[in-house]
Amino acid sequence: MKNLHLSIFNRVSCLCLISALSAGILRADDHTTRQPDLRTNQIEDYRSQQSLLNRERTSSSTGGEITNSDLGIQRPVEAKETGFGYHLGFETKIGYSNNPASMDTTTDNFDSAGIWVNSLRNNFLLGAFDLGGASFSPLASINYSKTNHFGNDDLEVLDSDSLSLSFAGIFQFSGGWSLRGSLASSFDFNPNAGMEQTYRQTSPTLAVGKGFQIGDVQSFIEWSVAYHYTNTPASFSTDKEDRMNRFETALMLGLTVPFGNLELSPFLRFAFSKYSNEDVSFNKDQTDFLANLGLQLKYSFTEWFSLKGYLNLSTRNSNITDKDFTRIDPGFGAALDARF
Amino acid sequence: MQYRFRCYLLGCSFLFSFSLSALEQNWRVKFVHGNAYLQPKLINVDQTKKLQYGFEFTDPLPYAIVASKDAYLELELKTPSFQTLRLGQSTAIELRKQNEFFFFQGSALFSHRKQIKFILATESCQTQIIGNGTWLVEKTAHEGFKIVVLEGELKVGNEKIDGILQAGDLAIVSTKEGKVSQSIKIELPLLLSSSRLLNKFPTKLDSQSRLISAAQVQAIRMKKKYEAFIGEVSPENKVRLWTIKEKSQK
Repeated sequence: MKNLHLSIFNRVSCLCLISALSAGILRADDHTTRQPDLRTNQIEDYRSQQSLLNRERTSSSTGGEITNSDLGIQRPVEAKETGFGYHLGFETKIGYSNNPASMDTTTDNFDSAGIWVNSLRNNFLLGAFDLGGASFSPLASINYSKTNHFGNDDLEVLDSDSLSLSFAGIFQFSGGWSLRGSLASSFDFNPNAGMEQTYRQTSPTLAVGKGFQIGDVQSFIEWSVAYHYTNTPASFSTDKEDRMNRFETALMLGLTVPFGNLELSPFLRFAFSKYSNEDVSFNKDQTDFLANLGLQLKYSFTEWFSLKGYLNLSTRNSNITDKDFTRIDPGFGAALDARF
Repeated sequence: MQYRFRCYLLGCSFLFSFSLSALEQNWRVKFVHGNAYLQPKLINVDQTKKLQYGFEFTDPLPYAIVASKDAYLELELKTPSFQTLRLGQSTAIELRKQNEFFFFQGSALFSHRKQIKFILATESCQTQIIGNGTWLVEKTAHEGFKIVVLEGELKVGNEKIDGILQAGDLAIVSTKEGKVSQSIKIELPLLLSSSRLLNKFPTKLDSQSRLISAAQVQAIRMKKKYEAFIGEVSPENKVRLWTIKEKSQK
């Protein structure tokens, strides 16, 4: 009888231990599942590229009535020969995320952490050309960002460095319309594992946009279509390296409302992604609907130094179980920008 | 034989009408605000025609076109090549020969896609302009011209071409020989939003998209805006600059 009790106790103990271990493993595994396909920098990339194109766009129009001439106001300016421009930007942001791993929020398998992101941006405007009815501006960008997680040891595995290279050709038409074709590549590395490459993505993109200006308020809307060719090192022998390949179409709209040196910039982005991988169960037939709502407050002390506060809300609705999430990211930062 | 003769007659009449149409300038009034008149060279009050919307005229050259005080006039020419001519307030010009304009006073806008050779003249200045695009011209107080290219390219000057003006370039033409000043770049977005020769008319120019793209390109290439505005031309044919006071000095 005693042996029977001991045996039952041992079995229950083993079961408890196994279930506890497996729960721990699963929990740890949930946390370590980086989701590199969720890129959060689209709006920053868009804004930093547009800053080179739009920096002198705002006309200091004072109306034609101050001059007697019907010709209009003639203000002397100095212009570059071809329009080559360079933007060097450094930004540091510290924030909190309730779910930095973008885990399923319908269960308790998610955790919060602090996030520190340092980004270095280089945008090269390779000229501005008048095509007679449209202008064409080629842009090249090289950006590097470093993301560190703090306040939660389990989530330090999400730390990553990311290098992105992109080339874009932007056609601007009258009425504020624009057409953008671009090819961008991103490379993610794990700084905690000797900078081992963890993800690679190459994305040809075509986008149509329109800008509006009402007084000092600038707004934009852009619809893009992209295909992401990816490479993720296989964690299981059955995994395919291109399992994150996906088609994505997105609608992004935003406003910039200036109040003196303060700038209020809300944005909204909706994206629909369809994964192409048909072979593995991991994301077979995965179709996601993503929404990002963000607000940025920027106070410019000088033309080159500003402080920022931000609040981003992201959600994903997926047809795959355990992929839905909601994520809130508030934070603040500082930026140094130099434009030549 | 009779058939051949008919064909010959038909060919001759076609050639004759073609040559006539190539010579005559069939201007049509596209817009008029206020009072504008067409006046043949020999002043005869009875022949003065008040210009109204839709009015077409093929009067023999020379003749004068006048837009009175507070008036704006837009004319369109279909043949031999499409051209738009807008006259500003208090403008009087004389069309002496095809594409040869004598300016008594005022300002005008020319817009044409095809390369055209113009001659512009005042009492003491004459210059030749070759090119295509949209450009503004104003007679200065000292019988010269202020020319601003909004889009396209113009070669301005006499005999050997003096200067090539591109979008955003302003130059002063003076003297009987049509001496062209060094060009100054001026802010196109501001000019486009403030020019009454562009904005006081109900329809946009055919070259509107080209105007916008030229302004966009200039805005992207912009290096520096001077805190000044270009005003009248001095008796020495130099542009007068009006500087803008800093806010703190006000």
